[in-house]
Amino acid sequence: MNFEDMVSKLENFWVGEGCTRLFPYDQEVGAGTLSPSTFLRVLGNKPWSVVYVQPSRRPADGRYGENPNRLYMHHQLQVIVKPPTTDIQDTYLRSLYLLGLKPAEHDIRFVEDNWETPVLGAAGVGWEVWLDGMEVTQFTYFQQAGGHELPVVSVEITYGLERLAMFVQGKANVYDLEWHEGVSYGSLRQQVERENSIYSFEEADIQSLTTMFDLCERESQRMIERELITPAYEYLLKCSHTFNVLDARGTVGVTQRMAYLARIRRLAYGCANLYLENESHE
Amino acid sequence: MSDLLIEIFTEELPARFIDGAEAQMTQRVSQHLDMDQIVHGEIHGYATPRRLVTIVDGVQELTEDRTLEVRGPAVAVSYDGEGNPTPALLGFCKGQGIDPAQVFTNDVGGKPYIFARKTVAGQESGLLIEGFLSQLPREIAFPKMMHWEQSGFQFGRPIRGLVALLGTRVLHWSIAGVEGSNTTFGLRVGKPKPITVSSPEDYLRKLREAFVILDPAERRRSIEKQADKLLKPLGYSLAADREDLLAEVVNLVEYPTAFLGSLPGIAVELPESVVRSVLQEQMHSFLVYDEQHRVVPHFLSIRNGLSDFIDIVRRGNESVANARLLDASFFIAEDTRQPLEAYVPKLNTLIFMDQLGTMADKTARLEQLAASVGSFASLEADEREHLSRAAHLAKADLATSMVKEYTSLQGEIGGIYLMREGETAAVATAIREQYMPRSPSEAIPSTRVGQILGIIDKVDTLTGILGTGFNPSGSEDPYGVRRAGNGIIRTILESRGPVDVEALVRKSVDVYLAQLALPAPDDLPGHVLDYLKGRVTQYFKEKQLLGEFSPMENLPLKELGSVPERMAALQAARGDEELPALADSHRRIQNITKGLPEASSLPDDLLVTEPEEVQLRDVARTALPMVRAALDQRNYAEAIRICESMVPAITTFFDRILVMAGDERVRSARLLLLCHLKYILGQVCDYAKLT
Repeated sequence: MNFEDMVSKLENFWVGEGCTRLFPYDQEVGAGTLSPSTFLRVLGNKPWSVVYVQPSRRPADGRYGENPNRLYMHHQLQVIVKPPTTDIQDTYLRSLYLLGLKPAEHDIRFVEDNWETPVLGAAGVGWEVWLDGMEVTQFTYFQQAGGHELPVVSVEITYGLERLAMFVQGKANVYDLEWHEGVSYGSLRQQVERENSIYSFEEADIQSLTTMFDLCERESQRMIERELITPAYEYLLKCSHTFNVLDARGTVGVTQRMAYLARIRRLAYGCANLYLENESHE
Repeated sequence: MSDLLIEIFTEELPARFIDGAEAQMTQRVSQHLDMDQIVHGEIHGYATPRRLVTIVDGVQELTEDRTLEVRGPAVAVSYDGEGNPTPALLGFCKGQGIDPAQVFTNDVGGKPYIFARKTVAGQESGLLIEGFLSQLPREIAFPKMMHWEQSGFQFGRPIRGLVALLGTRVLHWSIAGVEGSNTTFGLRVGKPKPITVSSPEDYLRKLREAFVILDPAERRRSIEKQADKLLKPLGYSLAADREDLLAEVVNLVEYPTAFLGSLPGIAVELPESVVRSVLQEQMHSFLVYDEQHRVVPHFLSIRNGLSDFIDIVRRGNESVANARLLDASFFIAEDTRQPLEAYVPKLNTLIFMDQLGTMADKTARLEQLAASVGSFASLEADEREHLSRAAHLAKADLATSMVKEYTSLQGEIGGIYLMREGETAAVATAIREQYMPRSPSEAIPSTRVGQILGIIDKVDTLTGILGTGFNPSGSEDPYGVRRAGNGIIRTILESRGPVDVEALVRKSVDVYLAQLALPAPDDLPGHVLDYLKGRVTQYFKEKQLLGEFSPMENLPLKELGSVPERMAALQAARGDEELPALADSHRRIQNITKGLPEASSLPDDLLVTEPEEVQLRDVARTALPMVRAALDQRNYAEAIRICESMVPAITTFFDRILVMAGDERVRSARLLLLCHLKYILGQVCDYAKLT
């Protein structure tokens, strides 16, 4: 099963389970969790079920397209079910069986892994799902977001699509994956990986990025004051990605790093508060 | 009589939660049964990652009849002038359903009251059990709790089923939206098939048929047996220190099947600690050794499930292990393109602790402490050199890719890289050993330089964290304060090498304050030393040697290294005839000089005139240098013997001399003489604490 087929199967499966299918968020994010379709929608009381693919950029994980397992950008399939059904684990497992995995032939485990992103004031408990020893999914019951204890819990299921595809296709190197018949993952991504790694580790202009962070932060803060959540949040995401590049570039000292994280957290809390205020007015 | 079954069925509980949760549940069930006076047989607790189970044998259907005495109104208001019952008494009797003639009186707090004796008929155990069942899940605490549904109920992981059967009777209970029933599920394979159970016995049988081994001890035996079967024919075995991992793996599965996987050739070239981290920490799998205790390119892993299709599972695990080991070898290759020295400047981007600066700051402090080692420990010239070098490089590996990826290998990686660079072995070993002992079961560093490096690193951590105003209490040890304290103490006690920890702590505080502003610097040395003294007492308490230790408790902390030898010498002297008298003498001296400080010198000769006090003075004068010499030679038996030899002079002194003489100058001189004796005896130990 090639990469694109696997993704469609999983998406369709969750649509069948009542999730709304969205397109990837059109900005750089480090994980599907940062998309407003997760970070904002898990706040408050309103039910929400969604599935979307999210290309996720982690500049520090870039390996110039040379490492068989590590990527500057990987793809996540993100599922949010709020509130979760009581058989959510079994539903998830059925999605794996759909990919041709026969339950009796494999060892599928839920191994404790709790997740925390202090910069978003977010935390959850759950597991990594192991498929014959390989971690293919992060399964989390959200407990907090934006510094708020969540009144309605969301389950977040994040499939690492490359890992899963490597398992399904039996490939040891991510670049050998078949994306579409006759089209390899490497032919689509390897050059991009190389360029972005060179950029993040060697070329990124520190002065420009520092200025960029300041500008985006100012704009986000201004939009929080004008109570426009979406632009405020979008500029927060730009701050977050800019910081990630600076961090990969290896120029952020300890104190500076804490200061950056505190600035992003302030914006995240601002957006979360605004979102909750809005919901309470509806 | 029927058996009772209680099952709380959950999503996968973390392995580290399971034993504790099972123990709490068993204990709570036992307490509830006792409180409700339900007669029962043995209680069995079981647990798997997906269920907490209690089974109680032979529960009696009804509780015994009970007689209660119920207090009514005071006698004074119960009868009128003619001795007839008042409305107060009549009301009470009506309420209790008895005749006023049946009451009796009893004094409560010196005042007579009316009492009624009542028989409460035995109750149905099933009803009583239903009364506490819904409470039971609330009474189980987990290290980390979560909520998952609208009631906000907190547990370790979501509860998905509840079963309680008393014999064949299904008991009613509910929690977090889940209702008690008689259905559960077996091993998770494919589409879940509900299992209906008709009795506790039926439950045990059906779960076994559904590939669930309820008893952790049985799962453990099964794993050990299977491992033996796979390894023995090959002449292989598991590591001796497999216990922690085994305990974890037992609670990661409901039905263990062991299999042997192969590792790529690179596994035997990589450092063993790296292979161990990959396999044990990341994959919960076991390293395998040959008869010469060398790692072989195999691993033993435990599948949750049957042996069907085990080859697929094996291949999957092998490819994960392969990828991870390749990753590690890639990191090592990257890291070692530069010498470890090159990572030292990068430490200024790693924080040590909030308010305590970076790892570069910590390195600078360790270097200063190492440079002043002469003030708190004696090392040979080459050892001092090694210590300086080791302090400089101690934290460098924290900036390497390997340690960022495998944090538990801190120290280890630095040591390995240095050996590859051809660094002096003593330096590499000290760096590798600096974090030891990481747990109560781990040994202390094996070399003197490693011990001193470990001690100064831990003192620096302890001083810093206590200096932030953090108050270490309770069972949690979030900053590793207790681990650091215990490490310092164990290293000193078990190495028996003298370390003046008081001087070291003072130096550590000075070094901090010269570098950064600590939020809580007030008497920090005293605070740190008090904390360490507390850990010393705790150390001996845990070893159940508190009685033997108590005569040593008041020795200055810098003598800590000699405490085990002193304790041994004192134990050996237990048979001495003079020892009880010495204890008694020490006690008398302490009582009469209470509140007065020990005196290191004798009173003026002119004031010592009576023969008995002259004699005692002379004995003391001879004894002090002898005690000092014995202590210098660490000959504690001799020191004790010298103290014992002073007993007759002390006894005669107390028999003949009135210490509290009328003349103030004479009195002071006599007290001073005794304070000097207190000083001499106290050099060895506090004999007064002997019992």
